[in-house]
Amino acid sequence: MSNQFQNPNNPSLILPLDKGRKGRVGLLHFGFKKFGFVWDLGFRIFDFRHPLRLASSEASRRLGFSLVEVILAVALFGLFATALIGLLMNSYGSNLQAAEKDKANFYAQQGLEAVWSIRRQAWNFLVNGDHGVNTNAGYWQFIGTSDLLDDRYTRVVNVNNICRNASSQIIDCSAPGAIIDLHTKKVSSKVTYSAVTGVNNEIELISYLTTWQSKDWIQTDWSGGSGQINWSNPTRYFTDDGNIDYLVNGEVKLKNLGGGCGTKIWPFDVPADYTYDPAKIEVIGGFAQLVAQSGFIVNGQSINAGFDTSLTPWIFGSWGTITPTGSWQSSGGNPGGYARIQFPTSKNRISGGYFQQSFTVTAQTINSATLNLDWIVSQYSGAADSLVLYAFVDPAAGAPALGQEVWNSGNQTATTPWTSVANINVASKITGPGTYYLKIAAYVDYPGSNRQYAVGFDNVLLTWSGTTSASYPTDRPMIDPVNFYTAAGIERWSSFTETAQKNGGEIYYQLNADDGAGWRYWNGSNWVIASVNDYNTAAVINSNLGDFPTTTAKIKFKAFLASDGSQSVRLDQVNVGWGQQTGVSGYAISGWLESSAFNTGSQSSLNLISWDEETANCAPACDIKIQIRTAPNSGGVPGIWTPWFGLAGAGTYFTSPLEQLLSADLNFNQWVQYRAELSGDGNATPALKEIKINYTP
Amino acid sequence: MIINLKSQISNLKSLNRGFTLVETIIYVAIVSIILVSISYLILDILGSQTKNTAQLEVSYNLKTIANFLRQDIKAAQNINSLSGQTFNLAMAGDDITYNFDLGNRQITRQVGSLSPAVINTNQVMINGSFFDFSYLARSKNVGINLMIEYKNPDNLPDYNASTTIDFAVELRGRR
Repeated sequence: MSNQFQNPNNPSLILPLDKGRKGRVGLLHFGFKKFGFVWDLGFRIFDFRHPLRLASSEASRRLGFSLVEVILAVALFGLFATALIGLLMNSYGSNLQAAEKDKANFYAQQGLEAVWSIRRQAWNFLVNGDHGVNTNAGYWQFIGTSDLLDDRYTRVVNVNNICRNASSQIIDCSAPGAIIDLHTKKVSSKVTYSAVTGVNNEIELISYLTTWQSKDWIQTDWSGGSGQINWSNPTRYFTDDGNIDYLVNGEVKLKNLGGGCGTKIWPFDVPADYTYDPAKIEVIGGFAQLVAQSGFIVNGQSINAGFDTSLTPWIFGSWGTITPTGSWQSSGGNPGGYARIQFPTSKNRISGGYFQQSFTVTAQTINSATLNLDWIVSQYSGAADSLVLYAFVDPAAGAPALGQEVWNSGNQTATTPWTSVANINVASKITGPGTYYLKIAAYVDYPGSNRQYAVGFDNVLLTWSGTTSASYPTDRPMIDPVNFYTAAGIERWSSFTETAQKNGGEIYYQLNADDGAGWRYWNGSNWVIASVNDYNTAAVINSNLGDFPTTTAKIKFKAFLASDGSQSVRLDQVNVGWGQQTGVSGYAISGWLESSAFNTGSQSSLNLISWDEETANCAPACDIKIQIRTAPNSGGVPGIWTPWFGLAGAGTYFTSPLEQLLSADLNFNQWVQYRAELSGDGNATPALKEIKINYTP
Repeated sequence: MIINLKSQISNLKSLNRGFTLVETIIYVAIVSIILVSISYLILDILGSQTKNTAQLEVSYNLKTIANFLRQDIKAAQNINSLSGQTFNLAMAGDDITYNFDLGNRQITRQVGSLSPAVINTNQVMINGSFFDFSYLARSKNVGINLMIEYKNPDNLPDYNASTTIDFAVELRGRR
């Protein structure tokens, strides 16, 4: 028998796999027997053409596995194992990815929380666009356009407008009928990162924020008129320029001046509207006035205190029923010379003698005034009914009135040595600037027997110190408006009036027509170029204003506030009236009003402004412009106001009545005020119906 | 016929005579390779399971702690006090205090005067700090830096799992 296997059913078939086999390994070889055949399930290549032929009883002897079978087995095992390991790796990888995704989610959530915080800081901090957020300043801020976190997570916070349809549903802004809703913002926080698998992943969280915490300050009625500084009566406002008609309930308009004329009022309410030297003029509380210069310390004293060489300027006088003698004594004083009053020998008489000198006090307020003196009773020939020495400070010359003295010696009953009295307070006797009299006196009530007495004074000195009164600049400081007033359609200037409190001073004016000629004054016959000291009173200006040029239709004045130093001069208002060309119906061409200051109750952020206006009847000449300003709280009233703000910042205006965002520079103040400027063509007037300011307290 | 039968039996015997040495060696080699591969596979499975367990524990703690903090801060009316490791929230009901207990490496939540409750599992260690990102009296915002580490006293590589996360929550219970 050859070692080739011959299939008994097909002797031609030789299975080359079994070539050279010496034995068989049956361990991994199994099969079963059924239907008279051994079914071979071992690893072998079947002859698919005759698969059953192999399973004869003889074929079963050749069960086992060849090298190819082994290679296949190992390969299959390798495949399964690799797949299994791959699965395990994926399982672990997916956990890592989940952790990464968690982290990305945290960062996205943090981005939204940051915007929540910024929204609460101020609605107008939510600027549209891509932002990074951080807390480097100690609170959340938009900084840059993205953040890089952990060196692999990139976060972009996007803020954008949303649009709504007429039913207030959020729709795409490009859809027809879409209106931007400035009370809502769409915020997305997107975190992108490269995952462990190298795939770019992205987490995006979206939120809609609204101004639900905000409040509105609305005014729809101005019929209560002006004069209300702080908001309480909702029908009133603070002030206007006189060209505003507020009488119709529910609207403000330009005033119909009738006859085609107008009035320009300069109210001195906004310091920045005027040019002046703040050291000399101040603009406060709706007027301009001279600045009081504070007083200074002055002092003075009486003279010839020591009577060293004469009595001058002391003058002697007397009263009573017998006349004493007043004289200068060259010796016997304390020391040297002194003033003596000699009472002659007499009885049952009364006699008073005094020396007086005048002194001038220039202080308005006396801080101190004291008197020092030395006195002596040098002769006392016997008991008197009374002998008293006195000192007086009187406002008038002449014999003093007993009882009004600033000092007395008390009754003297014998001669005395020189006695010094120091620091007698005489301030109560000096009541203000003026001339006063210092008097030293003695009075004797003689007894029934003849007696003789003599007294002396030395070192009599009164000193005073005080503060002069406040004074005002005397160099006629000037104030003039920054801007010219333009009276469109003017035919002639008609009136020039002032409202002022002059207190004896005066206010002079020059005028300027902005025609290149500079400042002018009325020289009695013409408006001519003024030098520094050429000006007129308001009355003179008013009388001759009809001749003032109108070619530029512009005017402004320069006011000189004249005082002698004691006069407080205050200018409340200057009005210039003018007449229009014929054919104009007579509405003011422009006018403005300022609202009362509204207290929002806390440091608020300002969100939006909108108003309701009626300009159709005279568009485009008619217009309404609004400005807003805010102030912090200062003891229950507004502190320092910000400049007036418009859409593009300070000094600009809001011109569209639709809702517009207010500047962040107005934030965190407590008081709000608006200013409305109305303009027209003279034939018709715009009307402001309602104004609404939205804020978040 | 008998001879033929014997001859056939003899042939059959020679065919079933056992393994040659070469066959045995090849067999043992193959089986060894397979067994070693299986062993590695099993070790891998066990190791990745450990890693997953550690990672999942950290993730679970992160979510739980963050949820507690988020819910409480969102509902709070104000921040009564906040320092690096502790803060106290004014709530509609009892105040709530969170504290990073750095000594025990855990985070506690205390409601009113009740005892502080540890809100992390005992298989992790916690570290972190709180920040006040409030702005004026307007925005009240609490920032949280949270670090969670799987307890791994023997420093086994498979048990190394930790995460650090920064997040912030705005108080919404105010107005």
